[in-house]
Amino acid sequence: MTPAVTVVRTSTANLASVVTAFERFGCSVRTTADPDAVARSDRVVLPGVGAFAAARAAIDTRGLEDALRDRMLQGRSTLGICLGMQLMARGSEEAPGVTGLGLLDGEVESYGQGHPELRVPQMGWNLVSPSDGCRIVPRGFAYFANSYRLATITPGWHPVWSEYGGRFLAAVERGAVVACQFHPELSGTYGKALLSNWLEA
Amino acid sequence: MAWTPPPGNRSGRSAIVEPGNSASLPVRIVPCLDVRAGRVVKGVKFQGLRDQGDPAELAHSYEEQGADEVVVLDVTATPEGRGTRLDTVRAVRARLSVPLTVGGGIGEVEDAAALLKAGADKVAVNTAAVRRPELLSALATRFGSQCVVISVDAAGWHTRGSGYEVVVRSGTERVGMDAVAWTRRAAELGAGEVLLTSFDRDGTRSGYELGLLRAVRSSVRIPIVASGGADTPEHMADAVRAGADAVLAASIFHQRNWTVQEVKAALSGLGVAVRPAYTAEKETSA
Repeated sequence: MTPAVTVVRTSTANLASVVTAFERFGCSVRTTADPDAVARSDRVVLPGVGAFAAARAAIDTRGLEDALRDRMLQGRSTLGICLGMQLMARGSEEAPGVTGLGLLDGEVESYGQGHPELRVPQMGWNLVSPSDGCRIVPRGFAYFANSYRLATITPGWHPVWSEYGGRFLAAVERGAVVACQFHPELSGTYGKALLSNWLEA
Repeated sequence: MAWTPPPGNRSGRSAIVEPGNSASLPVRIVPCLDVRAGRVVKGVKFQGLRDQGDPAELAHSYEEQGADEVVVLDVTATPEGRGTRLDTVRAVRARLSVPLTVGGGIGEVEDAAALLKAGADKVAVNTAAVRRPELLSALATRFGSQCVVISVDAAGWHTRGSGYEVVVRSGTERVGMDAVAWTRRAAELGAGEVLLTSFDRDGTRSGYELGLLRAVRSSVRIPIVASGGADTPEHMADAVRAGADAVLAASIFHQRNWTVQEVKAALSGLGVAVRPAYTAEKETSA
């Protein structure tokens, strides 16, 4: 079986690593910004590199909000990566006044408030620890490249934790809907294990 | 060359970063592929280049050894060579599932966009940013700071400033800028990481320039990738203690003096935390 994966194209995102990662599993991968395709696809990836406000604007311009929100609320297989996870929150300190998709509670905040010893961005491999009930995100080291993160638990979503100047959400999962602050597509063998779990979920 | 663990730490166990309020991540081991016309080369102080192999094959093999990311530098970047460079990046990306930084001859935002589209995760800019610092802001605005690496080649500058001066055009030109002040400015403009190369140490295998690392560490918050001079894990441990978050090396890996795995084991023995290889845990949930 070669599962089909739809990667949502927002204007700023670099998609080559995500696309290549799924092609290694033999998936047929298409990139699109078409809301109907996002609504219909069995598996959707919302990647994200760049700024919160620009990515949010791209979602609005392309009319993608309902398609993304609905499929995640319905528990249909969806993977948010990095900024793709942050966009699921209510908003971000990076872009005051810009709303996220509101699926996850809390606001995305910057690292390092009160932690002058921290390198910012967090750039490198950090230990990821899933809570009981997680079925897709394994325990292990994953690659992060981020200056902002979410730390608020949302009822109904299983938290996956990491530490960097305090505890933050490395990922959350609810059924086949997973959001990772790190980059599974850049996390070597660990990332392959995660993506394999998600494809099978 | 044989490595012997220091007395008192012979267990060989990895020094794992314990969950806690940790402020630092495991040091990243970063093999560097200097590429010319689609082949990996290596010289001394950027001169006398010798063929070391195929970039995609080497990148893949380093990932299997445990490399935490890979850097590809186009050491003879020319306008005519840009098509070849994109082919190289595509080929490396196809074989690599850890982060890939690409540098060399990036003069415009569109050069960076093409490299990112071909499969780079970060772009390293050097000469063009020295000439036009606003390039860094433009890149950070469009792609995010986590995509933008400022590559600083520094040479000893014994009578002035921090003692280190910026050199450009593969070390052929000194520009009279203080390397530490320039790195700080680049970070303010939006660079999310600095690839800090000691021109004096490059290819000499005499150890990283620790004074340069300390001076930059005390001046910026962005991660530092130390480059130039690596020969042993002891050199890498010294660089970490001087403030490096990642250590780049080329010769010692290409010439198979050390595998990445051996370097990591040696660093663990020296008390430096490294990322262990991933092993799937048995299913624990009911």
